[in-house]
Order: sequence, then C-alpha cells, then structure tokens
Amino acid sequence: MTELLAPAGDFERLYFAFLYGADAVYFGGQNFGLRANAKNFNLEEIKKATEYAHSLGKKVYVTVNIVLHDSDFAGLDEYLKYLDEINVDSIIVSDIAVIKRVKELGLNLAMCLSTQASTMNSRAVKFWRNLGVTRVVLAREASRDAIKRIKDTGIEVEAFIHGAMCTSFSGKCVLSNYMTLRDANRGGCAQVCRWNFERSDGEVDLTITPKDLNMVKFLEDEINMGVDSFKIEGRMRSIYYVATVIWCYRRMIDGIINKTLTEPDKAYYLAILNRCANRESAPQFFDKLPGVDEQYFNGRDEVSNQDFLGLVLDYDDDTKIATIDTRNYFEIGTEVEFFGPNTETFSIVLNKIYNDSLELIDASRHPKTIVKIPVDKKLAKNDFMRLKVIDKSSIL
Amino acid sequence: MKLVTVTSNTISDKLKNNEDIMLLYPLKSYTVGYPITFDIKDIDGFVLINRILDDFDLDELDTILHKKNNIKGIVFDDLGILDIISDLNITKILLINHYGNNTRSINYYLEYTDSVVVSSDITKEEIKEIVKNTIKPVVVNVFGMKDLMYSRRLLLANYAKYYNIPNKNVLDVKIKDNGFKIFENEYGTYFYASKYYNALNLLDLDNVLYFWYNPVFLDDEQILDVVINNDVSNIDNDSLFLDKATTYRIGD
Repeated sequence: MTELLAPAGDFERLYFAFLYGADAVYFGGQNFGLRANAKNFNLEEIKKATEYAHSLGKKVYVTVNIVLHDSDFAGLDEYLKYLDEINVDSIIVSDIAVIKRVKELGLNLAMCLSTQASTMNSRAVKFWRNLGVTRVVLAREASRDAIKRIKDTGIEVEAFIHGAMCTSFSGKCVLSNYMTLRDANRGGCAQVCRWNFERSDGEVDLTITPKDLNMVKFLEDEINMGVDSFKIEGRMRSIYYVATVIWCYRRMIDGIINKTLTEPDKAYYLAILNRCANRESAPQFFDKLPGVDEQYFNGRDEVSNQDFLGLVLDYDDDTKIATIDTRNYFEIGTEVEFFGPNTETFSIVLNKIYNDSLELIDASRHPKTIVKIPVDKKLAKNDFMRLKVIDKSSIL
Repeated sequence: MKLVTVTSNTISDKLKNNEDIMLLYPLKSYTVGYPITFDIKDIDGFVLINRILDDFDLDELDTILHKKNNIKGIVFDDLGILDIISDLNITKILLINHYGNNTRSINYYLEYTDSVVVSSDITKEEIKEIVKNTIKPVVVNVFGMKDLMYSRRLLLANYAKYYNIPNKNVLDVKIKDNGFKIFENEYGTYFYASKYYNALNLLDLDNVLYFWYNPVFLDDEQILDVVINNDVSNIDNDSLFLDKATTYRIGD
C-alpha cells in the first residue's frame, strides 16, 4: 500500500482531494478534533463523506485527537459509537482515554495514533499497539533512521510529506494557551510560533517560524522504506491548494512506482508546490536537523499571489467554449494554464473573454463571476485555470 | 513529600539529608530545558528524562540505566522508556507533558506506572478533581519554571547564526506583557514562562505521592526559601493556568 492522504476541511475539499488523486482523506467532526477553525463535518456530513469515499473505493479517517479535560467527555461515547456504526475507516487519536474507551465499548473502529503523540521510537509504538492502535502518524521530527526502526515493528506508518510545520514537537506546546488562553491541544492554536519575540536588550527580535515541509527530495526513499501513507497537512487550505498538492504528489508517487519520475519532473512539481503554498518549504528533519535554511527570520519573503484564476464549470465540445467560475483578476493577453486530474497541463494566451451574457469583456475583475473563454483543447468540469508562472520547459 | 529538581551540586548537598525531600536529577544527554545535568554515577535519588527519544537514544539509555547506580526512581516523558525500565525496581513516574489533563487518562497510565504527573496546564479545580479520583497517588507541580514549548530545533543557535550575533543558550524575550525564558542545549529548545508557577496552595491535597518543585534558574538561597519555607516573596511568580481556564474551541 502506498496511500496518498489528503486534508479535507469540508465536503468540497474532500471532493476535490479524491478527484485529484487522494486515496484517503482525514477531517474532523464538530467536536474532539484539533482544527477548530476549519468548517469540519457534522454527523450527517461524516456519514455522507464516508459513503461517498467508499463508493469510490477510498477511505476516510476522522480526527478525535484533542487532549481532553474532565469536562470534555460528554458525548464522546455516542460519537465513537456513531463513527463505528457508519464505518469510518479509522479514527486519529492521541489521548489514551479515547483509545481505551474504544476498546471498552467493544467497537471495531481502527485507531491511528496522531502525530500529537510525538512518536519517534519502536518501543513507544509497541506500547500503543498493545492498546489496539494499528497505525502511527510519526512525529515530524523523525529521521530516516528513526523511521526505519519503527517500520521494522510491522505497524502501519503514516508520515507527513507536505505542509505547515509546528515549531514544537506536536502536542508539546502551550504557547497559545499562555498567550491567548486558546488551548492548542484542544483545537485553538493561535500559532504564537509565528509571532516575533522581543528582546529587552534592543537586539533584533527572535523569530522561530519554520518553513513548510516538503518531501519531494526524499519521497522515493520513504516509499522504498515501506512508509504506508503519505500525509498532506492543511485542513484549512483552499480547494486549489488541496487539488494542486494532491495532483503533484499523485504524479510523483505514481512516477516513482512506475520508475518514470525524473529529476526535472521533481523540480517542476516542487516549483508548483512552493508557488501554490506561497511559502518556502524544505525536507526538515528527515536527513538532518533543520538549520537556518529551514526557518524564516523576520517574516516571510514572499508576497501573496493570485495564481488561482478560476474553476472550469463546463466545456462545450461543439463551440470549444469553457465556462469558468472566476477567483482572481485576469484580462485579454494573460497567459493561463489549465490542469486537471485527466487533463494534460497546457497553457494559452487569452484572446477573448465573454461575460455570462456572451458579451465580450476586456478583463474579469471580480471573483465568483461566470465568464466564458474559447479554449481549443478539451477541458473537463473541475479542471483549474491558473496564471502561467512556471515554465516547465525552462526547468527541463 | 517533596520532589525537588536539582539545579546544582551545592543545592543537592544542602537538601539531600532532608527526609521530606526526594531529589530529582536531570540526566545528562537525556533532558531538555535544564542548564545543569548529571551523570548517572552522580545521581543518588530520582532521575529526570524529559526528551522525546528515538530508538538509538533508547538503546543507549537502556545500557545506562542498567549499569550499577543509585537511582531510586525515574520521571520520564517518552512512553518508549517504559519498555526498558520494566525490570528495574524503582519508582516509575510518567511525565507525559501536557497530556495529564484528565482523570481517565491518568488512571489508564497508572496501570503501567507507579505515578503520573498531573498537568499544570489546567485549573486548580481541575487538578483537585483529578487528584481526588486517581487510583494511585499522583505527582502535582507546586512550584517552578512552567514549560510552554519543546522544540527539537536549535532555535537560538539558528537565530544567532542567521543574524551573526553571539549565540546565547539562555534568552529572555517577551510578546507584549508575556515574558519567556528560553534555554537551549544540543537536544532542543525549551520555552518557559518567565514567572515561576506558584501552586503552593495545593500543598494540602491528599492522594499525592510528591509535590514537585522545579526551581530552574534560581540561586540556592531562593531555592531553600521556597522549598523549605514555601516563601516566594523574593521570586516573581504567577498562578498561570490555576485560575485561568483555557477555551476548548475558539468561540467558546
């Protein structure tokens, strides 16, 4: 098994994650999950998501990974029973009380140990496996050698390969609690690690923000080591981000397995990933301890981009007109690029743009409006249109 | 009984004959957040191991802990350690930092250990409720540096290198009125709240195996004041989360 696991902040993101090649998604319910700011799923939506995933032969994992206080247990039993009843494929847990409760209730729920448990060694894995955990999400600090030792236990291993990083060991930080009384381990992280810390001696502020994680360079190593699931971070990210990241990693994983992935391919995908995230990224802990190149100092250098121009709603084979739901400004003369799960990436220079009434316009100025564009090559619903920024031929 | 983290050889000498005190020594190469650490051969009391470890660290630790020594107990964070101390006849205390927040979890962990450290991220009422309902006596933080974050990154070294400024492994910083004391060694960076956590009003709790004092960065006289006399008049202190509940979710 080589599973590509995507974040799904809501059903739309889940839909796009699967469409663009994810094998499984993870998301939280309204309670007991660590992304309180994401839309998350209510009970009916979890059921609908599970049924939808299973209809595609794919999987859903539900986060139940807060660290509970005594007052937080109300409703937990009913919630766990419900998740079991609707056959979610696994729950992601970090608090031993949840793990034990699943067993006490006699549920068949598979359990995956959250990265919040900061697991870095096979002996800790043994402890959790004896309690019924069948998969471990590794601490993001786990090195190549540490992963090998854990993999030797035979437990399923899930590893983050892309997305934002905590400065801290996950679960070992209450900076947010201290600064804002928002409990980081119950879904309220205020990301204090991305703030500036002032020194009393007038020296430059301390910053501790890590760059994002990307494992493009070492993905093949991890596949060869037998890592079972490759996880993308970002339940609060946009459909464009989710689709783009999944699109890139799907192609890289398949290319590695089929032995067709080249170094220029990897460079191209990495350029897309970095542009899409609007952040720099690095492999972080896999091959060495992160240094200055894996951190930001005095804020990020990049400026926000508006690459995501629109979503293809429809393509008329007869007229060769694409209907686009717009997101950002574009105009006649803009060079745009289309990509999709089954659409080979290509670019065109826009020479005509029509509004929804088929009147010619010189630019699309407002997001979430409908425009029509002549495109010679066939497109599919839910393909994306983005600004052409990266020239693959220059990388190749 | 009091469990006191040893911060110097001199304070160890001053406290070691006190029958009401068990000394806790940060183990060299296996702790983060402690400027002074101790070789296993110099420890006569409990040993503290608060790093998150990989298998190679654990293999070495296994050897260290099984050499002849005078360790009477161990306070540890990484659950992998359970596997290597199962045959040791010492008191085993789990410090699963930031996770000892509810009674059920602590009781489950107590099936595998002699005691568990109750979190200091929760309110006084929550602590009291937990202590009242645990199946074995627990350990309660009553005074000391309150840890806020543990990073495997060498944040201070990276910062100094990037700006080409002197590398200090201890740094005081703040955001608005919230102060932090940071300590870094080769195993990671540890953030503390700048004011000492003061929960001395919990000293009357029953069902407590140890009341833990963690007086990092204090001088010997200050330590004696607080540990022997519970006098914190000369120490900048705060009740932190004891009287301030955190929110479950944004909007709560």
